Amino acid sequence: MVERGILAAFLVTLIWVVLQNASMFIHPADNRFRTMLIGYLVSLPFVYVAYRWFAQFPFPPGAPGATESPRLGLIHAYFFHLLLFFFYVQCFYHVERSVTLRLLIELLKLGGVNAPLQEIQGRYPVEGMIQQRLQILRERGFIELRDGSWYLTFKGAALARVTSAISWLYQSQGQHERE
Amino acid sequence: MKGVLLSLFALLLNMVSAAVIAHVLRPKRYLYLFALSSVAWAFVYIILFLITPRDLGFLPHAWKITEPPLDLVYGLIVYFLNCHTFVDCFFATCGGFSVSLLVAILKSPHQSATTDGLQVKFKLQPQPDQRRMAPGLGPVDGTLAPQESDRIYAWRVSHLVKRGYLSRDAAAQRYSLTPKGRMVATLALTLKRLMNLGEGG
Repeated sequence: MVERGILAAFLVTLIWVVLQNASMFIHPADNRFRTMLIGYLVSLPFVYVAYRWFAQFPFPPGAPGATESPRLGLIHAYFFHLLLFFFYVQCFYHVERSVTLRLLIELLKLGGVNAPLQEIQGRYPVEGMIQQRLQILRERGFIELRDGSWYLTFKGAALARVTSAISWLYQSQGQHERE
Repeated sequence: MKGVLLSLFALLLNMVSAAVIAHVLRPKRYLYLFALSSVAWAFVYIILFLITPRDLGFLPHAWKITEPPLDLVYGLIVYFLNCHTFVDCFFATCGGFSVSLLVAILKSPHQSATTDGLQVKFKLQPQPDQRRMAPGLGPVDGTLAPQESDRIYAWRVSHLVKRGYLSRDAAAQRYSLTPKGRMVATLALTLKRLMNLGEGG
């Protein structure tokens, strides 16, 4: 039952991730997280369908009938499907948001040999990076601009406070505090 | 079910122990701390799995997975996926650029900041020994990128040189991709194209 659940979760995740990325070539989305979330939610019923479909195959082949509850397999299917969704979102942001990867890619585009790094940084300076991030945070409802100053919304303040608490818990510093 | 329950228990202990170690040792290298802690608790998970009864003393018969090796491996996969989520959430919040802007606003007077004020916060003062701190990775030698004067590039370029992704021509202040750096850049560019992503960063 559990094998069936794991396979169903894996198969459905693979299909919706491929379909979602293919759809981005037809209709690119501005908010990719929302698109990923919708993709995940739409895929939920298909986990059940895939789980039922796999019921016709014995796992492993030739194994005697399992004594596990069918509900157990389904619970694991949905649980594993959720974990794979988290994993995909995390991997997506590693690729999409990484400043380090962007730096390496910009170097590659310039041939990758004896490149003037300051020229690349001139095209993507910290000032521009901050402005871009502030704009995204504003669009996502974390901050608002009033009289030329940025203020945190309730959502932004909550996230900042949670982050401060985690930073205290693990004695870590934010990027704006590091030397 | 036993594997998953024990893996969640091991994850909880991993998070708590990492916090305790962080308070005691004040580490500079969080990635190493989390990696070591996760591996250590993975071994504890395996030991717990092997010494505890199949029903953990309370699981109904129908909730026991028929194949113990599968239960063990599945629990281990779930454990590492959860560890990845935990570490990723930590770095996205405590080490993330966007969230650090939110915290900078929160800690500003009147909990507000201008764009110029935030940009100043990301400028670095020159340091005599040029040591920089790579988030989660520890100190790096800033002389590998002495021209950098902000909190985004200063540690990053030095770290990339130190780790062998970039090589530096000190005289001309130019950088080249090493074979390792070229491989990573090519892979990242391919993934971005496959996902139809913009420049990002």
